[in-house]
Amino acid sequence: MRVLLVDDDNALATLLASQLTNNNYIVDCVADGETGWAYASTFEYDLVVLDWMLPCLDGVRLCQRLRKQGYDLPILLLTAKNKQTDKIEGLEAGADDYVVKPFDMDELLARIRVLLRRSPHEAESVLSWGALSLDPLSCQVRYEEQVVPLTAKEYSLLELFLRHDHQAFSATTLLSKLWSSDEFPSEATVRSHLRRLRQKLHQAGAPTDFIETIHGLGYRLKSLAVELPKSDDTTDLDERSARYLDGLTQAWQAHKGENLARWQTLLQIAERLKAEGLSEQQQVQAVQIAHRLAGTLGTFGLMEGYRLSLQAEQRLLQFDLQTGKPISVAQSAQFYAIVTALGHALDELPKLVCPVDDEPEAPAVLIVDVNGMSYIQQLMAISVAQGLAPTIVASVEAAAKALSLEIPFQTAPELLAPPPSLVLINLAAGEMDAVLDVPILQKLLHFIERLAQRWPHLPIMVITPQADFGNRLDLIRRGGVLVLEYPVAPAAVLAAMSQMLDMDGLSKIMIVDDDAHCLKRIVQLLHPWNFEITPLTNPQRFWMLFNQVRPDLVMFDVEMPHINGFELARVLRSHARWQHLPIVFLSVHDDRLNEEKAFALGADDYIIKPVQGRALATRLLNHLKRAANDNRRLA
Amino acid sequence: MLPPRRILIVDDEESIQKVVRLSLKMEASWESMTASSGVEGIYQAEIGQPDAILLDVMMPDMDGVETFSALQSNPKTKAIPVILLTAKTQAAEKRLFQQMGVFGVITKPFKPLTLASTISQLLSWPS
Repeated sequence: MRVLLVDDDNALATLLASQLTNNNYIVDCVADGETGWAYASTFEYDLVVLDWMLPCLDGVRLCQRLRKQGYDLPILLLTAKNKQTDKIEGLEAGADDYVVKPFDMDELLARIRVLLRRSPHEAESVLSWGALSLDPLSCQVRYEEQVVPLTAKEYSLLELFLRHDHQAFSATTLLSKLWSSDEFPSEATVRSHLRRLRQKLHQAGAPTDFIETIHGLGYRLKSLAVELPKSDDTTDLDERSARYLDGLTQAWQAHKGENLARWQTLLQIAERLKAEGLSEQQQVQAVQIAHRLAGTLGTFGLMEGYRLSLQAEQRLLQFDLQTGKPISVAQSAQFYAIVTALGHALDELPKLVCPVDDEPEAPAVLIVDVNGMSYIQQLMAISVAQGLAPTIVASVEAAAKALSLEIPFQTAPELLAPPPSLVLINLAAGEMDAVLDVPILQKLLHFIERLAQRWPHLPIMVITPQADFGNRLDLIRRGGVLVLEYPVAPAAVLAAMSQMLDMDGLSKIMIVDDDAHCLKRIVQLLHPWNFEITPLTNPQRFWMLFNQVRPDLVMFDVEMPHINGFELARVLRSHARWQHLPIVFLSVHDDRLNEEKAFALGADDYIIKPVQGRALATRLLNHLKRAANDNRRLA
Repeated sequence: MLPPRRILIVDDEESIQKVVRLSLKMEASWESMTASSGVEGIYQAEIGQPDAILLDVMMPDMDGVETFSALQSNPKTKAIPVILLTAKTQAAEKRLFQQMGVFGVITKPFKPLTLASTISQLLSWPS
């Protein structure tokens, strides 16, 4: 049962919503009459609980509007007005019941139950289906007398199916009927609740398909009539998938051995490559094996193995044996690392493949290591295993070629080979004497400058034994973005690389601005940066939504009705947990006093509207980066 | 439900034959015949007259391209539509395959439970 609660008394609304939720109702809470109207006319409710005194549109007028527009759902009016004439006015406006504040919670819940019983949707008696029974009063579910313990959501799902016993509900319909508009669930959430409900019913003795899936229609209670064998026409997708997966697993068990043998041959070739190089014939053989492994592993849904086989094939094709050019130590180490990781990937189990045409490639990382250091080889191996696609180049010339630095600067970037996602430059010379000779160091530093000029947005990481302030400043001025001090563990370098590669786009930002037009504009401005944005126009709903979304950064308008941005910031900072959450203010007023007030409250930024998208995104990214670093340090 | 069809799968990998067979059966209850080499594929196509041939590109002895040429020059098999089945290929290579006269190229890994629909679409078969 879905209830709309319209009350601007935040404390009372929270208490009442929690009581209703505990009694298995799905509750949407709003704080003013106009929003109440918007919700009631948009979503389907079984009951509305309405406060009389509301901002924008009072409860009585909202009640009249609902009745005038033909909404016949039960309405309970909740108010501090206790005169007889008030009650009459409320009931004449179309309310079905009238409860005076302060009220007894149990009495209110009983009155809600009575109203729902009067509703055409509600039947008073116990609902049953075969051996299953659901008692709406005690909220107890039994299968053949055994109590089935259900969560509130599972109970609501089952109740809905029992009240509409021959109707199939799609996941989307279930979402709209049983989830509140604040919850932002996906269809996958519905499926996961259904799966758990099916499991619990099955544990109590019900058949696994007590709630059946009707392909193309949704879910419903399985008919109690004698079951007829299913024809292929009615076999649903889930069942076909399960049968396919069974067949796939059996076939994989029968053929895993031959693929392991192929991998072992590839491993022998990789070992030989490290020790003595490769003949052209061996190269051809290895390419064929890697290609076949890619085809087979992909077909069986072993996607990690598929990805690594393709990488191995590409690496082999890059070896230029015809011109007699030797394969470098770095190249053979990279190939060996890929093949080793591939061995582990063969232990995966087959899966149902859903390949997409533009499947994202593994992020490419170019590592410039002129001294062939062993810790860079280790880094290479662990980064392959982590899903990156690293390439090591052993000279500045090779790096310049790989990054199109030799091609004239005027050439349009789209005509150049795409750059990697990240470049790592190792400035350490060796384990014992880590400092590079001056000529080669100068060459590498010059390379960093050229690289930053050609690809200004490419993240450049530098590992150096000389990371004091002066050298760090020099590296940053040349274009380095992150400087790590040698010695550094390969795992720490990998963590830093992953962090830099992840920085783009995945951060959650919540923006609270009562001006819907402005909010829309900011969301549009930030669109290219792929933030996960939660916009909110009503600051009164902030806390509820904030706790659901748990954003990485919040942005507040200063002036808003009921609760202003400063108050929201104070609420956040009053929690020990949110002391470091970046808070950014957006204001139309270039007002020094407000700005000072914002920073005094612990804000991280104060931005004057209108604002450019790039400038705003850069400021937000900086705050996010700093917060991520703070969090890591605290952890 | 797609109308019944019979497909010849030519792939030297028995495991791939099994998975393709399983996919076609699960999705559309299509019948399939299998061959493990180009030579065997031509023979099976001649005598079995399938509705379409799914042909692996990389096979020892006679690869997919050679097998396709042989099928095209054989009066008994030239009318049977051929779709190539291959692990990830470069776009240029894919274009080359299409210029040869094949009806389409399906890349491994394919979506198993829509393989029959993909074949139907490539061959403009009514659903």
